[in-house]
Amino acid sequence: MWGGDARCPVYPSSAWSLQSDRIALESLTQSFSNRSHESKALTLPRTNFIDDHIFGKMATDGVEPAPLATDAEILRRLSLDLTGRIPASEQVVSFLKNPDPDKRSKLIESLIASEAFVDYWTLYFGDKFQVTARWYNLIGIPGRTLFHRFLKDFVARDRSYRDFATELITASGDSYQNGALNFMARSYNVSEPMQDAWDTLTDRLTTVFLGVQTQCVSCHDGERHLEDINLYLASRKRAEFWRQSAFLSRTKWVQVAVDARLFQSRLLISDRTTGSYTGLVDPGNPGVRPLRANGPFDAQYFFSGESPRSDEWRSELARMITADRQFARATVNYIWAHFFRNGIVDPPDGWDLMRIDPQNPPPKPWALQPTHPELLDALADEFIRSNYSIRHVIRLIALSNAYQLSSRYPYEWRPEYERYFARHLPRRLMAEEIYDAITTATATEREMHIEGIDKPVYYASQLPDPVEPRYDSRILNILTNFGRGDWVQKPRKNGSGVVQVLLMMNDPDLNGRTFADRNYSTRVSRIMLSAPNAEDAVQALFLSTLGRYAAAEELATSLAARGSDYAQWLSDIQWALMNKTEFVFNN
Amino acid sequence: MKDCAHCSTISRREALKRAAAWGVLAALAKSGEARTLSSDVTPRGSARACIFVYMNGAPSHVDTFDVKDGPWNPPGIDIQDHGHIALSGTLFPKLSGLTDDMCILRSVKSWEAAHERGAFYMQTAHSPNPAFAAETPHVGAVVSFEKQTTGAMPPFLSLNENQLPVQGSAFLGGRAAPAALPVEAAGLASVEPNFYGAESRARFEQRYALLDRLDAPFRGTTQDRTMLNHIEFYSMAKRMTFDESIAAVFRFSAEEDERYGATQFGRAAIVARNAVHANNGTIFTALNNGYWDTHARMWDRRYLPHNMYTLCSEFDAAIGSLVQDLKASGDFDRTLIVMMGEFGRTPGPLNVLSGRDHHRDAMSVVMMGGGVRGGLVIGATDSIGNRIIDPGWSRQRPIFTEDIAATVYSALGIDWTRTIEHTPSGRAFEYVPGALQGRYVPVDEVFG
Repeated sequence: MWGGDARCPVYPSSAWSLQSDRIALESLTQSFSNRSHESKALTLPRTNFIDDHIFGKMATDGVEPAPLATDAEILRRLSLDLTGRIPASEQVVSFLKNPDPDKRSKLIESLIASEAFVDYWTLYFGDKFQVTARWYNLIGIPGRTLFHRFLKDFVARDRSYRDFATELITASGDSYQNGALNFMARSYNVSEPMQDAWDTLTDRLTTVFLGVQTQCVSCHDGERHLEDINLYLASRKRAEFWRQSAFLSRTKWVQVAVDARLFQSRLLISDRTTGSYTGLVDPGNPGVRPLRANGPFDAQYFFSGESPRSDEWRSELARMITADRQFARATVNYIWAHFFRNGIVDPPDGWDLMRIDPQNPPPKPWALQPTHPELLDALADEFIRSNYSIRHVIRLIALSNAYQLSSRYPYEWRPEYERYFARHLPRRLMAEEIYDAITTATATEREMHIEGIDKPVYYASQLPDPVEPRYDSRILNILTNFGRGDWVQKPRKNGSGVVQVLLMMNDPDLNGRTFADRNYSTRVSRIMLSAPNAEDAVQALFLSTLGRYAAAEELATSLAARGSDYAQWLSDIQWALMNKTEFVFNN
Repeated sequence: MKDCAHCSTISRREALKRAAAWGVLAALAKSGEARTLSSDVTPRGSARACIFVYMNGAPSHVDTFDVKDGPWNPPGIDIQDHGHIALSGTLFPKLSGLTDDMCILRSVKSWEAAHERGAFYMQTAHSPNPAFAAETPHVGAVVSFEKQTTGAMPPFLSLNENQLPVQGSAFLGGRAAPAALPVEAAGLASVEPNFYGAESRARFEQRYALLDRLDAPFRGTTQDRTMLNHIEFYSMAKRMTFDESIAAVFRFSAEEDERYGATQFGRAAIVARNAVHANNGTIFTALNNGYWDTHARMWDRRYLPHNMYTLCSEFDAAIGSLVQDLKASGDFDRTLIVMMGEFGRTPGPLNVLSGRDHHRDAMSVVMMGGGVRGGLVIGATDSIGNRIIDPGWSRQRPIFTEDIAATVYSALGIDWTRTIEHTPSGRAFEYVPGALQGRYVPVDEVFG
């Protein structure tokens, strides 16, 4: 709750009572069961089948949903979740004023049609494939630039994800000419035996495209290792992994020096029509995995036992993966996790394929993995029906009222309710989103020149690679401190920490952006120029920074803080608003 | 409840609600009915602080702390015997003078042979299981969670991270998370904002008060655990800002910088020293030291930026000076210093690239201070450092990461057998897996 009657006419503060904290502590030790009353989920309007499933289950189990998000809440959230940007204040004002009952769906369409959508989802997928210039001198700027263009084109044209995945898996030629090839290059480690590259790439493929991390069985059988972790993988053998990895064994990788002094190389990749996976390695360089049996092993699809129909094993690999229903399920689940913080199967890269079928439930004490198995199947079907259109899935999710629930929960929240998606679960914004929100709020977007991109970019979500912006260490520092990671060793971390709060509060660069400046270019300057009334000035800051109007109490508090220096006062307000909890979340 | 002096709107009701929202664990722990299990053990409590030096990349044990003589060694390696402890005088000039304070465990074995997995194991004492990783906190986070200090410094400092992945505090909450504060010659800029000159402090207090008033209603009513986790950090950050004692921790002179080797790692070691000496809340400092992964040209001085000469020189200058200074300031006896990599490296002759590769069967860990008996070697490997021939301790088996973690917990007065019964996913989290059943124990021999 935003607190108090003034801000929330629907759920007055009298809904809270001392009763609630006693219940809170007691309920922690009780098992949950509450069917004695009718949940409001029964009466919430439903937009599409997603709502049928989500609200239906809540109604059945008597779980209360949060109210729908307000217009201001949903505008900001949609802007962030679809384009990684916060809305401009003009946009907030007009959206809130707009009487059109369909304005939310029209907003969704316009956001999906925007340039910023393409940038943001290019970054989203970039995170999955992690093609960075920093990869062991094998990708470099040329490789990553080409890959980024390839990726961006896929997003911009809403190409079939199935076609895109096929191209990624079967790419051949020169990595400095064929962007897609750099995905393969990203799994290649120059000092390791070829089998390690195949195995690593195989794990990457099953994780990214099928949601199953097979790295465990790339080193050992599932037996005696995975019984407590993953039922499906516990019964699988390392030899079966090798047979999966064998799909890559007819691929020829040639490393070609580009510049001997810089130790830069590129890859030439082509395929043979003969060969298979051998476990033999150079004893002097056995690689990172335990010694393998000699084999040889022929290709066999890990998940179905199917053998390739032709000699072109990489083509066959692409066909089998993309035809696998799990490809559709895993992909829609990943996208769901972006919008709902948790996947229907969570974590989205930890599928246990023996625990996903409600007709065939796992033995106790294991539970079914998906929170809503039928919904997952329905989404997968939609994805397939739309010819694997990512936008189609995004649209369905964004339009649903299940997604549009508020993060405010007027009742006592319990951790179990997360599995019902009973309210919006806010995520801390990504490093790029935070930086872009700061620059947008303060109108201090800075040019960034990126090698390989003709025009300068202004938003971090446009950056192709965590090494960028290479020549601006201040921006790089901010992004690193908010957990951007490096696509090599350091994973992205979207948690909170004292360093981040200190940075937001005290960093001179970030602070300077809230000042009025001589060129009248910063937000505070512009407001001073255009809004002479103090109240309007405060509202303008709230609108630009938080995407909403100030509540009565907030307005009063802000006005009461005014001293003799008008510009300083406005700067203080913007500083405070940027440091409010809600600024770095997508609530 | 936590000290929230600045925020007058916190009431018991809100605090309970907050506890309920962000974890059964925290609520139960606070209410004193912690649902934990433990057996009847007495932690040593000989150390007040721990500095854990993560030697990332896995240093070659046969060239460092289990040094072996052989024709593969480069000329001039100058292996000297100091009692039981042999060290290369060339590589470790400062540490060679400190062997009376060193305890080297040579019968350590690693479960892992891959860096990411080994690093995860080293940091958490748990197997890197992707299914559980999100709920596996860093040892430093467990320490912070247990100790609940009241100082202004973050209880868990992580220095010189430098692109190295560091595990977080998982479900143990925000305060226990590693604070990766930057180490810079100019000090910690983010605690000394001065863009208003002399007015800076007053302005900051004013602004912060405004922030508080504007955000308090939201902070008091949100039930989301992710947001509540974030909110934890405001009071910590506020407390640190303009706190001279904290700013001082991050300052060092040119002379000190020089003495510690004039490297980033050296500077981080100075800050670690200062944090320990200040005794202002920091209990666990992770000092991250890279890049020991010497697969190639390890003795080639021209192979830059890392070869054994540069790595050992950086390490020796920093850690040698750190130990010397802690001794001089009287903090050494209460500060446990641990130096450890992910695994060992292949012994005997070098590989085809003139380096050494990963080796699980034997590795070395060094402990100093905090009650550790010096001049001591535990366990032994064969003539080339391939396998352990003498475990050297009561358990008569190799020492594993879990035992090292148990030792650290014990030294810090923490019950290493503790198990938390309800993580957010409903699982049990053991501080040291199997410790309750006695599978792993502290290596008490290090304490003499």
